[in-house]
Amino acid sequence: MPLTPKERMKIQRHHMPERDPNQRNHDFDEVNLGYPQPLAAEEAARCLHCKDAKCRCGCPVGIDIPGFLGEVEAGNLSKAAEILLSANALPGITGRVCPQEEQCEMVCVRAKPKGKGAPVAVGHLERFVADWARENYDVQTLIPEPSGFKVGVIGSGPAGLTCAGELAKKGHKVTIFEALHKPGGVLVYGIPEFRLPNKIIDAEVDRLRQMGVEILCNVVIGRTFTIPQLMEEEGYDALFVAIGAGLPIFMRIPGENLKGVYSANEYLTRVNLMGAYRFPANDTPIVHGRRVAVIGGGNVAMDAVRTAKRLGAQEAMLIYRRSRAEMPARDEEIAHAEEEGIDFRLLCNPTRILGSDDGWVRGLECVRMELGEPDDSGRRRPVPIEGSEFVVDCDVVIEALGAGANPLLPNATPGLKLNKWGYIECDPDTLMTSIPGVFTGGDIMRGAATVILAMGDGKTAAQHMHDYLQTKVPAGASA
Amino acid sequence: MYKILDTKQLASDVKWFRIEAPLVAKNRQPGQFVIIRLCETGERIPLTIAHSDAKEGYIELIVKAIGKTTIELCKKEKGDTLADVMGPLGKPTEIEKVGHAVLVGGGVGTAVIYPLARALKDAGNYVTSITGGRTKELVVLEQELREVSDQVFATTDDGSYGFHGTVADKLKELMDDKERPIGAVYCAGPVPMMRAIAELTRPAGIHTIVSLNPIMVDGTGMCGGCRVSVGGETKFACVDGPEFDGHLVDFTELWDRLGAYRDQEKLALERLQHQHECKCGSH
Repeated sequence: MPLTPKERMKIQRHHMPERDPNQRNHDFDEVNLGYPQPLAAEEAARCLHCKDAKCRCGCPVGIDIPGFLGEVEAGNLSKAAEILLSANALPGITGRVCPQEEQCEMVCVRAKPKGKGAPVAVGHLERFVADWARENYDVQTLIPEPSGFKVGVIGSGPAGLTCAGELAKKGHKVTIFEALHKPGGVLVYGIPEFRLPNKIIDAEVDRLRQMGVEILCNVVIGRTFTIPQLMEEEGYDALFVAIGAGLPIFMRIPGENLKGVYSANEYLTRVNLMGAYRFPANDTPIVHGRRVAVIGGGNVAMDAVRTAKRLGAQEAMLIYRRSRAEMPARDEEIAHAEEEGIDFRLLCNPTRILGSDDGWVRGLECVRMELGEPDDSGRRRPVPIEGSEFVVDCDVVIEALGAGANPLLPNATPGLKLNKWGYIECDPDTLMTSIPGVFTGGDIMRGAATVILAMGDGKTAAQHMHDYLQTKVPAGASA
Repeated sequence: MYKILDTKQLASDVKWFRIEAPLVAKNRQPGQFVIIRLCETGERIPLTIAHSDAKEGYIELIVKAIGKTTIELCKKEKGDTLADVMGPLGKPTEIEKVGHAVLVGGGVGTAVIYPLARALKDAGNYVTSITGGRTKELVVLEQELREVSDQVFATTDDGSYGFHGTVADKLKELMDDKERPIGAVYCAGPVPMMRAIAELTRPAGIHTIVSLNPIMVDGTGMCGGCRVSVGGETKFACVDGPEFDGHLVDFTELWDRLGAYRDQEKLALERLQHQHECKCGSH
């Protein structure tokens, strides 16, 4: 007997079971434990199955959210997995890292009234189904007839992996070129184990291999091969450029080249990709600061400061020039960081990094800020308070201020049009660049953004690449 | 997996490798390097490509066994494999006609300038190569350089072989030779050596290109770990270099930053030694 709307409205949102903050901040095991099935079914029952479900539009890959929630409520997990996987190639990842509070859950009717309502926990339920599917769902690998077309995907981050999966499902021969020694891009080098375990990424990537996608690591397009070479000599009929926003932004303040100053990219790559938290069992070292100052307010800054805590920092501090309300990081990351004992130094802006006699960081000079009028982003502009300089004692400084466009590939690709910030320009609908047959998506196109938006681009591009190929003869076809 | 096709011991702690890496060899040019990883728990380290053959699909590396990774690499023989070889990385050397090109290599730095010799000679330059070491055992590639240079000088600090003095001392002699003025100097080796060479050529205004060796992690310009100050600006050695104008490089800062993991490197070596000496069988 299905529940009535009134009965559904009575069910309160279920909290995600989490590990104790004071235990989890000493290791790299996952913080969230996942819903057990009965809890998942109850949470799914909170969905009112609105006729005009806003949540579907809130999702960048268009998942039939009410559809899969209904199956979770009924206990038909296989059907739920089928609905989820047909729209989303990497649900175990998005269920963990999407900013649902800005997407599906923001527009959920249960989120009203604002501040009082609690949306259906779509993210936690997506994770639940994805984790179940990884163990139990047999991906009916419909390997269609080969189309004869050869497609290259440059970059194995979320955009590239998604695009590759969609193209493989259409029968195209896909090769992913990855510069690093492991696929996953920012998923594997940027997002820590305690948010997104690497074994989850490995499983999602393996699914692609089972579908016939070839992944070549240690290949840097722009150096090992150039795009003109791939198109003109190596027989690729179309390419998807998804190299991410891989240029670290430094503040350009004095003292940045002292020992103990890291970009967040370097710090996280050493720990997440190279496993430096296990040194000396793993060979890559990392500096374990006793007092670590992380500059920034986004998800990467949260990742870095929570990692520093786990590496044994007595004080893991976040230095941010605006206030908590303006922080771009996911609500859940900020909350977890607060629970784990991160020290938030808000309304502070670094001016100089101070060094010891032997060239190591010893402090971060900051100036206090106050909030003035809103700037272009709509957030109140931080303004320094004259004469309020003070020093934060620290021995490691990590700059997590965002990432720009890495020029390596664009510089090696004549005719590839860039915008004024160095990101790749493309047709807003088809995502094709100024070079015919070369498409783009993800952070290298839209600037540093999210995993799910990159995945959305991967899906969109795959469809248009498929359409483009229908107008061509394969480069490898015999006369 | 990247297979080692051949090896040769060049000195007691310097080994030459020929490695199967067709994709790296295909477009490689002199001055470029690779980043390698020996195994799943290994670190990523940069090594200059000494030579390559695009048709045969191999690259050659010359390695000095200094820290844990290079020591373990130098134990490998023909038939063994490396987990990862990524490249070719870095900007290729700008090979120009400068007239008289002098290449200066200190210790295993000679492996870095060796690929430039042939390229500079092919471009019509008169090539002088200097290969220096503290003692005779540490001078490498003298024979190999003779095949691609117009003249070669070996130097030893202790006088046990060749010119008695440092590479800088020999370069000074060449600078004083008015018969054959120097068009440009290309130099690679320990940081103090490159700094000395740059200081020597600065008053004479001789264009000096140095190949830098900071610590690297990703090698594609994504992490900034290899940042160096050149002319007051921050550059990434992996994508803007590895070669820079020696008169603009802040060698003091480079030398300082190279020491960031000294304690960890020492610990790794101690553990490695213990593993070799210890017979407990639990490693």
